[in-house]
Amino acid sequence: MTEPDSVERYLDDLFDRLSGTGGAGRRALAEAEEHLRDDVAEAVSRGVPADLAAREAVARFGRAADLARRLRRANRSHRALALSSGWLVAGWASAIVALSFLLTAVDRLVELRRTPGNAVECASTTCPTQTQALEHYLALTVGFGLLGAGLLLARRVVRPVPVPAALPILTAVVSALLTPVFLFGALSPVLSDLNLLVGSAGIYFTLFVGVVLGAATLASAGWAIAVRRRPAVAAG
Amino acid sequence: MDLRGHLDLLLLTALHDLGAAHGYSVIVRLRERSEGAFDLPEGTVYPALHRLERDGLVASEWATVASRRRRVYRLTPDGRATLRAKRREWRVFAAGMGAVIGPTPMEGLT
Repeated sequence: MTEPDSVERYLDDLFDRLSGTGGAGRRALAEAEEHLRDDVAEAVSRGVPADLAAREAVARFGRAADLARRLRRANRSHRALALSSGWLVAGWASAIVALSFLLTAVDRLVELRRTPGNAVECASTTCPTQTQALEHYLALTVGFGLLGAGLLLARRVVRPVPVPAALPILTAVVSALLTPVFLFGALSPVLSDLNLLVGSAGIYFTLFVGVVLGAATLASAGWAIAVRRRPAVAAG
Repeated sequence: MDLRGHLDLLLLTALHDLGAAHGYSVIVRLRERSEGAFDLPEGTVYPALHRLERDGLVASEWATVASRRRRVYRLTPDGRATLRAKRREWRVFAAGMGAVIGPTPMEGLT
């Protein structure tokens, strides 16, 4: 078995990086192979040694990582983009909810150690004990944590399409609008009824989500600026 | 040379001049017509062609050229209309830039 030449190695690398792109990726790979073989043949016909011709053809073609990224961007559909963005948002939302449950569970644990065995304050006739409340919030933490981790990990493994260029600025605007709603909903007695709407998510839900949304506003604004400044050589 | 923002016009022009053409011949055409000035990674032409096809400005199909199977691109009617519009924009832009920076080298600059 002979050692693969530069063109073969390059095409193998490109093939790996185009996984999940379907027919568009297969076609791009075929075009890349045609192009490189033509380039090598043309150089060899001028007397350039085959090895050198292959190395130079690959160098002129550009990095496989850059090419794969551009091909994914060029072939993405709006439906795939919406799916990919929704997937990402659902993953992060689940992770945030899991963290809010975790905070509430910790609060219940502290409360349980202070006053063991007491029922949780509530208006219902069937009030849970603090132990039951703690178990409830821990179970929800694990459930939403697994859901969030599963969604985010699956998105990395499947690698559907890159996030759309407009997502950072969209996230920044939505986060900025929602931050005061959750933040003041948690802190203000006037808006404390909001806690009742999401009561099952735990007593820290609105405060925690408000803080996370505030951080997300700053992070996504920075992300949007970084995307705009990112060099796009020959992006057309 | 940074071709950001100009690659579409270059590709549409090359396809207009060549008629139906595959990616390699488009790149050779750009290299020859620019006398080597446009030194872009050759692979970047293919994503740009795919994007133009997604936007309906070019159409492509597999064809056998010189006993080789190749993906051949051609302009669509929308692509021709876009090319006309982009050429007008470019001429206005180039005339404006030329008027501002002038035809001769500036004193004190190499």
